[in-house]
Amino acid sequence: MSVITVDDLRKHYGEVKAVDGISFEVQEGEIFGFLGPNGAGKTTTIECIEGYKTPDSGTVTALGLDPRRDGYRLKERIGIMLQETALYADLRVTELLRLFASYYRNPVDPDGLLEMIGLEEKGRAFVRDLSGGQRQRLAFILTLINDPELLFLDEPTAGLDPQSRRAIWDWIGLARERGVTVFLTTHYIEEAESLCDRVAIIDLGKVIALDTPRRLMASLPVEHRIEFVIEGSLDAAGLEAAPGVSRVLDEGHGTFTVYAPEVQPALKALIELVEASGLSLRGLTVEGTTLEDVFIQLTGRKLRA
Amino acid sequence: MKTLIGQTRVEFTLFLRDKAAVFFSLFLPLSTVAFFGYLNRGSQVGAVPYPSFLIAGGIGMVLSSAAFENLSTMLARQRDAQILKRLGGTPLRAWTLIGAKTLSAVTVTLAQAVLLTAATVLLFGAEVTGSIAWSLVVLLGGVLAFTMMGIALAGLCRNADIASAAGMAISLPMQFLCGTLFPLEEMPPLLQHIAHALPLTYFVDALRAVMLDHGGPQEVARDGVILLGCLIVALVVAVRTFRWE
Repeated sequence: MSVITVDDLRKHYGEVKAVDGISFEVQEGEIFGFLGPNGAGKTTTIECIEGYKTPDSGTVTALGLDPRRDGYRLKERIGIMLQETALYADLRVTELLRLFASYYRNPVDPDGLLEMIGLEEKGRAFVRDLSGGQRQRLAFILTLINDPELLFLDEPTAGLDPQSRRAIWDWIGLARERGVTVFLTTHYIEEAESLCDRVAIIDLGKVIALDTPRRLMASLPVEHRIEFVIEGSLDAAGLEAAPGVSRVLDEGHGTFTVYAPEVQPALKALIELVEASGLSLRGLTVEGTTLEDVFIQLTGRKLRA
Repeated sequence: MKTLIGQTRVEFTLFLRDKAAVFFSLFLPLSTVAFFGYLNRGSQVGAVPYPSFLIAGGIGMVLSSAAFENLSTMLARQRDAQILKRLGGTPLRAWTLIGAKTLSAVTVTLAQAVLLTAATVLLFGAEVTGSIAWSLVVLLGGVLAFTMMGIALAGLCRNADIASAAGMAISLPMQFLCGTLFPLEEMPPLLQHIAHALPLTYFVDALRAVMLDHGGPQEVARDGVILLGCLIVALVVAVRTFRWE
């Protein structure tokens, strides 16, 4: 069953086509990710589904409801985490949780939620005194206070330390185990790869690919990516001609990326070239195909550029 | 109903925890009234002792700072900070939020009215000779009108900085010119004209009339009509300009 349907959604701001004909469906119980750079149209799309924004054209339904016409009925059943976490700074944590609980017909017990995110000691603390990570966790559990069927998470782990990020991934996983459908946006490749059942890659207001992370990566020719940093100038053309190498990108500041179908001869050629030039490597990483590669392949640009 | 009560409690709590709001809405009117009441404790305004005259003016100052200016700035600030946007993602109705802010302003103003009246009565021997019931009616009507004007102002202003500056620019002259501390008739004609363009003048006039029982019903009726007009215009503007983000 489709929990979200979006059909030919368009939203323009003057000349800017923020969302330019996007269609997709999200199935019940899946974690669906929108992956793309800042300004790709992720937030505009999610806010059209949440009911914050009115589409210029196209149709959007969530849980079978029209977000604009049946907004209150929809909001009773969904949880929303906005890109920017803003909560009443002068309230205590428990006061804030109780306030949000009062907005819903059947709220869950706030104390249980606090325990879940390890903030049970912080109930009496003012929101303003929490750390950034703690505030983000609080914003996350606020989305669960009405026991929602559908979660919208707009960049849920942006700017978080790795530990908090993992914790939020775990809780998203827990929510899914309870049957909650999750729609999230991210510009973190790792987040999309490790968390999402399906990923839509979005760029310039359009969906340019949509599949499971595994299949998206499999759609590319198997290539390894060798990144290295070097001091001094290197003849990149010579490396490109080496066996096992398909292409070499000069990223500037002595950083190069080598795409190599065969990793062993490529590495050998690289080491030989560096030694012959009398230079030395400052850094070297070798990776298999990632969603980042899919994105570069599809758009010709880096995700975090 | 449960939501309205909960939200009202939160709005009131946030007010009490905002030091600037408490200073401007509670401390400043109280100390101004104490200061002017002490200076002029022996003088008369017409047939009325000055301290008795002062009560309605003090309550008017509270109305202007707490119900109008502070509420407007806080609303715009919460909107700027995206706090309102997050609330807009819940089933909370805009009317419940506005109702809660109004009820919180009613609570603050009522409490202040009691404090101010008690202070002037105890310190300077002021007397409330008129109808307390009618005073309450005027007070509630005033809070409604000024709260709604505050919400309308927040809606009209693009951001909290502008709302705060505009609120100050309107509220400060209102607090001192609108017959609050001195009778209008004793002010220079130019200032009288300005005062007559400001809605607080009519509230203070009406409240003073019913509190001290020296105004005819016709005078209060005119004040009432003007305040009602302000309320209606503010309501229309507030409905058209309210936004969660």
